[in-house]
Amino acid sequence: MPDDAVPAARLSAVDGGRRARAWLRIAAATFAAFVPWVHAATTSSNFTVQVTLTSQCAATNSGTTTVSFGTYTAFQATAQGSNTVNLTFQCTRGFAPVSVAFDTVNGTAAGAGVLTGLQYTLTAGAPTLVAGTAATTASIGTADVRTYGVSGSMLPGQAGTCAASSCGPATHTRTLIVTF
Amino acid sequence: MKAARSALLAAISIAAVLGPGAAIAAQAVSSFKVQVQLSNQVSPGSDFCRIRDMPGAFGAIVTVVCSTGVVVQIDAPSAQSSSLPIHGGAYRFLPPVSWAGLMSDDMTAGLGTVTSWRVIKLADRDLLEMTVRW
Amino acid sequence: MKRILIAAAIAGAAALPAQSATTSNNFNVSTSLSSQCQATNSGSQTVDFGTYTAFQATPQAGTSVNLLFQCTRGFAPTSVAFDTVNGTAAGVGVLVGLQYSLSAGAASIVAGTAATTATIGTGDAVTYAVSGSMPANQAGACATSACGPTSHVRTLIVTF
Repeated sequence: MPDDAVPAARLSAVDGGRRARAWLRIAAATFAAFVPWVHAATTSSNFTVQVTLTSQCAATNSGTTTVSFGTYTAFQATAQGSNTVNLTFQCTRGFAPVSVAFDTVNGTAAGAGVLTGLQYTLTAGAPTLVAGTAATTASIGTADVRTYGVSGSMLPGQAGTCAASSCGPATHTRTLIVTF
Repeated sequence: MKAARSALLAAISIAAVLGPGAAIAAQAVSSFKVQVQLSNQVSPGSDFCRIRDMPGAFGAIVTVVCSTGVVVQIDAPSAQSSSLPIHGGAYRFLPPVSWAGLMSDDMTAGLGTVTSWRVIKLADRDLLEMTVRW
Repeated sequence: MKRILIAAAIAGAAALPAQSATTSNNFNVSTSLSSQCQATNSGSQTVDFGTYTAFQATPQAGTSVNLLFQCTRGFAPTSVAFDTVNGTAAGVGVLVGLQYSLSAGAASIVAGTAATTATIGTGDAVTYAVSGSMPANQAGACATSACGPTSHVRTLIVTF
């Protein structure tokens, strides 16, 4: 019934009031019919993106380099040096090493070892750092590259062990262990 | 390339180790002195031998006893062979001669000088030794 | 309908309390060895025949000397000879007209201690005893009553 559909607006009890209520009903009905086609407001919902990163370093050239002492002549008067190898690691950006040591399989953690009866010592230099590029929305970036230079030396005056007039080249494997 | 480089390095290493008593390739050398003093004097081990009071002992023509206690028998040389180099050493036999120059015992000799001859056979030569007493 | 998003991203290292990680990088160590032997008392020894009296009845022996070498462990000698500068390779020589002959005994080897990470060790010790003899009844060559002491240098050459 028309009276129920419209919020009651008190009108004066004269004939003009009856006509005003009619216009009000029509207007309200018209308004109600047009509501679905009007863009009036936005609504948003916030949420969190979260991740935990475990920093890592990984060797990138393991097993590819050789520290070579050349030929040692027994009882030679001068120490024998070696070439320098660069052992490289890629690391999480900003993640810094704490300490470095050698394996204890073929020698000591400090870098001493014996090959064909000749004692040698290895030294790892302070690492150099080439910082990686940061990640952006366009690229994943690159890792920090940390490089350790390793070289060795043999003391002079060593007899060595060899039943023939010369022995070698003799080789064994050493490992640089970096602790982060 | 690598083999040539290490061979060159080996050659340089070997050449660098030189000096007294050093080793070159597969040899090692060690030097030492050899020393001797040569004396022409009669060594204390030898001595003169003289006739003692035992002529004709052991059936020998002349028997002498050396001060070292060794008895030396000297036979007359035979016609076919020279004296054998027996008794060795540097023993010298001086026939006894009196102050008057007379030889004693069975030896007959006139006044004068008694001499003896001895041939010493060495490795590279023979030495003729003559003993003269006056 | 547009929706306006408000996003917050939290990234970064979570501080791991007291936990360390290690990473390893393997490499080779290589060397060659040229074996050697080296005299250790060269020039310090003398084979002394003392005083030789001309025409002496008995041979004269010289003092025996030990010539020492240090060698790469396990590296053994194969032969030995004397120099040919002051005599023959077999060891014969002449001094003031007196002939002598030298002989070197068999090598005596004492094994060296091995190298370890703590010590460079020692070489094998190889010793040759050299003695000499002069035959008897030699005249020698001397214009006076005595000549000398006279000496010259000989060398022992060891081949490995």
